[in-house]
Amino acid sequence: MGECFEFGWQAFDVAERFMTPVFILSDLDLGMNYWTCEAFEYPDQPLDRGRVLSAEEIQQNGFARYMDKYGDAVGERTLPGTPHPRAAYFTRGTGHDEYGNYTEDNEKWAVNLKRLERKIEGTRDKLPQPIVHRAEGAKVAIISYGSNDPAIEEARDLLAAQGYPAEYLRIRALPLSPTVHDFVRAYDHVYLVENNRDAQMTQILRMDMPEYAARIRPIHMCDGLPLTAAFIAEELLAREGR
Amino acid sequence: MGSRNKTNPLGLSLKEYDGKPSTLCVGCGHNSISAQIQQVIWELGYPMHDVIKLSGIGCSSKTPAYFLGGSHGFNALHGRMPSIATGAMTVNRSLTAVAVSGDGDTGSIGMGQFKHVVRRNVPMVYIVENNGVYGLTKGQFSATADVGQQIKYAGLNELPPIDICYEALIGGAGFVARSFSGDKKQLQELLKAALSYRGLSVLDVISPCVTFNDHESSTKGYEWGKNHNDVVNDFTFVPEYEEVQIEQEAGTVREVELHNGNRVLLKKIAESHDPTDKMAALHLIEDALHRQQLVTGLLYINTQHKTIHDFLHLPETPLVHLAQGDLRPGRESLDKVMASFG
Repeated sequence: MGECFEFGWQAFDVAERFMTPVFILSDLDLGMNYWTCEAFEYPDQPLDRGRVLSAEEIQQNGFARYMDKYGDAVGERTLPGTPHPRAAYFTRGTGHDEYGNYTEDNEKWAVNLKRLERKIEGTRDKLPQPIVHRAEGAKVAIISYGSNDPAIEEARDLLAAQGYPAEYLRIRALPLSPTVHDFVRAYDHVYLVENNRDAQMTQILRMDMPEYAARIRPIHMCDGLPLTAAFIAEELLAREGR
Repeated sequence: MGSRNKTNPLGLSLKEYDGKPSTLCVGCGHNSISAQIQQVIWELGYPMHDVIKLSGIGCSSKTPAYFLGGSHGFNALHGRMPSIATGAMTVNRSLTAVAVSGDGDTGSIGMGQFKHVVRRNVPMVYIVENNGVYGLTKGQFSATADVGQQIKYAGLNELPPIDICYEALIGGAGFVARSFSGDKKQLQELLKAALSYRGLSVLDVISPCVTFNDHESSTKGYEWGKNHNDVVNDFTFVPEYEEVQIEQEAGTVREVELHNGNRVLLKKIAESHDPTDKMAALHLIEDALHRQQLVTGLLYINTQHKTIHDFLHLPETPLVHLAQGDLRPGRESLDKVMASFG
């Protein structure tokens, strides 16, 4: 629950820093039921408006809305009301050059799309990082996300009691952090536990690291209810031949 | 053309308020509306950087690129311009918002957003360039097309029309006007008053589509507009700095004061219409629909409406100019909320 609050204010910072829409996924189970939780933590960072230019900065260095001037593929922007003749730009759904001017030039289109790709890639280690729970003598590894967390923690207790301690990584953002990649590489196979019909996160992870696709094994179901620890533990042990 | 050599109160020429060249069809009513927006904003001496241009999707929504090149512009998703406008005008109340939409963008996909932006009374000029047809997708009827209209590819329209002014009035708009893109003078005066109005002003401007809907019997065409234009009031905008010169007979001219000292003078024509009477405005629209007349002019004005800035209790200083310490509630505020759950 605390993460819902934390991600709420962080999402605005990410959106403005990287100039990209941010989607926060929650769970109706959290939103429509009463839960006890720790008190929310006050934000430990100031508001981040990202790269917003003033009239003075435009005068000194110019302004190119969609140019990769800083080497991180993130552009710069101005706010309406900035008193400089070069401050204005037109946000449009059609093709544009690095200055925001309309263009149908295919090369400029491609340059911009490549910049966007680099920009999104550059967020991997700057978004909320995964939480990794280690376990001494671990024989198996679990990856999951969101509100599956309590069921997985309970399943880990069940597994440990049967001599099968499990390490566990909880994904907190897409695109995936390099920590997720390292976690997958460290095991012969990992179980990706998720509450949906199509094993969607498994598919995302397999696309992200196709060379390790075979290592990622889904444990998933969707019956309209939260996953249970018993289901997770039994499925995992069955897959392990226990 | 004379005004091309003149300068406005800021010492700028009309040309300096140009946008990119229009890519719309030659003769499109929308080009004429763009020209009047540019003319009026230049004439009144608005600095371009304090104006924002907003639109959705469609022929009409392309036009903000064709005027005021020095203003920020935003092409929103289809029918979703009001949300963008609400956000922009909430964080910076000192801006002037000029929004351009179309009969498809507002009357169909954006109807929900339109009704709510009216209800919230977001200060902005909301212009609907209304031609009764989807031009970009090559000539399907829009929701404002009148019953019995016939166009080449779409055939006969049997569905009743949505009337933008009617919807605006019912939604609670405090400034509702209708004009015709061919009536340059009336449109300019209405735009000036709309810009001075404190709140959301709706201007439904019949703007013929010369490519798909400008035949002789089209109720959104040039011929129809010229021959059936029933002007309800002679409308004059008087800036704060000008003396009012009334030479009409007493009782025929009515003065309405706007919030910034500007005024509008309304001279009644023929049958009198009281633009401060909402029911009269609704009746006028309904009656015109039955008479197949295009009523134009200021249909309704109410200068007492609260705006979203009042509803949200926003400070006079725009939120965007507040320091972080003033924007984010302090640690003790969160502690208090947390303690209330204990």
